[in-house]
Parts: sequence; structure tokens; C-alpha cells
Amino acid sequence: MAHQGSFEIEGIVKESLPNTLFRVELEDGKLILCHLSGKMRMHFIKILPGDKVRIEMTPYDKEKGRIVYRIK
Amino acid sequence: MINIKSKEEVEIMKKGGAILAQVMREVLEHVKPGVSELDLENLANDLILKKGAYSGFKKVEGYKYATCLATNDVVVHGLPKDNKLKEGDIIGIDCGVYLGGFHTDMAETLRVKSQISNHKSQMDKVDRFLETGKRALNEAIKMAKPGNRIGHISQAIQDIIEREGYSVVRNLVGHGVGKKLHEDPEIPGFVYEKIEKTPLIKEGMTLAIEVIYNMGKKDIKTDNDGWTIRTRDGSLSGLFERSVVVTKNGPIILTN
Repeated sequence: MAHQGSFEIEGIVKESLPNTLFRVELEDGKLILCHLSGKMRMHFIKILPGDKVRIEMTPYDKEKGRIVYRIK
Repeated sequence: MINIKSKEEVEIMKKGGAILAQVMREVLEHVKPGVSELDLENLANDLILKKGAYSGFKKVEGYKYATCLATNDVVVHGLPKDNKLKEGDIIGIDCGVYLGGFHTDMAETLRVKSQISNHKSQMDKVDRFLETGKRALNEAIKMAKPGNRIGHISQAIQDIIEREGYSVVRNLVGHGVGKKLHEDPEIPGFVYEKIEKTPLIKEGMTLAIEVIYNMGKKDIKTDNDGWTIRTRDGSLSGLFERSVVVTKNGPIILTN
């Protein structure tokens, strides 16, 4: 059975929650819960509300995402 | 996290794969004009149980059939329906078997013909379409050796499909297979990031390599039943898939 691939989307961080969780607003206005990717944690890249970030999402759960890049 | 399977686990998967291959062969032989999709679905279901295995697809939440049947413009996940196949249709049969705690996954697309002719003298564009998909799958499987990357598999599929003028479906991907039907890594049929950034292929990985492609444009849409995915421009769509295990000397097809 074919698997639906994950895709990347951009959003703006609205608030930061404990344990490096963030509420991010997508281009269509939806708010999703995102966590910081391990690679960014390893390199100590800080994310603050107001940052524009790139999110990786799966089509199987549209409420969650993973922050993979902070856009300058 | 990509799960590496031990030698014993690979042996279990080989058994499941062998059963799946036998079931597929028999179901494919039954594809003739006048046969309905539900006939093929029931046949596959019975064969899997008779051979002592379980249907892998029935373990997917919300899915109650043993196969996905994709006729003509249906890309994947076609629910088996009552309609009878016509001469010249193409049907993609996707099936999965669960045995000993492990899944195996396999798909093949076939032209509906009233008699099987062995000579390729009358290869029309639909036959060429299917031939390209088979070739792409074979080349992609050859790329699954230790030291290569998933991106090499994607590149092989994309090169062959797009060179013939067809399009690779972007939203649907191959996948790792094992204790779960869909595992890491995702194996897209096209290159979307630098090959060096895709996961490294290691010995012991079990991958379900899929070639999902359309004769026309790559865009797809989902039907109201929530499962059936069709091409947006109504063109034909092909599906080929094998489950392979990566060994030191290269890939071994589990579903053989």
C-alpha cells in the first residue's frame, strides 16, 4: 500500500511552550503544535516567537509538525 | 528511525514474501475481461488465508479489504468495486501479507486481455507505458545496495519515467516495511533534495520500493470515499512495487 509522503511548509512562531514545543501559525491561518527537530537541538539553534520557520508535516496528522529550519 | 532487520527476521519476511508472490501470481492469472474487482479481492483474500497467512492491508486502520485495486485512472488505494473489467483496461493490484509479525508489500499493473499473446509485435502506447514502469522498478531495485542512498533509488525511478514523457506522482512514496506496513524511510520516486542528504542504505534494511506514475500530469485528487486516489487529468496511472532486503551483495527481492 502506498504511503503518503511528508511535505515541508512555512510558518511563523506564535508562542513558545515548555520542552521546545511551539505553536506555529501557517500561511492559511491554522495553528499547529510543533516540536524542535533533533538537529536544531544539537546545534543549540534558538527559536523565539516571531521567527519564520520551515515545518515538516505528515498528511496523516495535520495538527502537528517538526521545525527543521529557521529562515533568516 | 530506520529499523535494521536481523537475519532471522529477514527469513520470516522471506516466507511472507514468497506467499505474497504466489497469491499475486494466481490473482494476476485471473485478470480477464468480465472479471469484477470484487472477484479478484475475494480470490486474494481466500488465497492468503489458505496459505496460512494474514492480510496485511486489513491491519491498516479504516481499511477492510485485502487488496487495493487501481483500474485505469485510479492511482492507488482503489476500493474493490462491483464493476467488471473490460478488454484493454489496466488494473494495478496492490496486496500485502502479514506473517510471523512482519508485513510484506507488493503491487503489479496488468493489461486486461482476453488471450495472452507472447509476442510483443502489437505494443501500443499503453503497453509501452507499463513496460517503462517495470523497467524503472528493476533499475530502482538495483540501486538498493549498501553504500548507496535513498536518493539514488529516487533518481533511477525519476530518470526512466520522465525520459519517456510520463510523470512521477509526488505525494505518494515507497517506504520501509517490517513490523509495521509503513516504516521509515520514505522512498519518493523523484529527487527533491541533494542525494547526499537522503538516508544511507545499510545492510538489513527492508524497503518497499514503489513506482507510481501517470501517463499525463502528476496531479492527483482523492475521491469522496476518502481512499481512492485518481489522476486529476483522467490519464492512466501505473503502479509497481516490490519488497526488497538489502544484503552485503545487493538487494534480494522478498516477494519472489
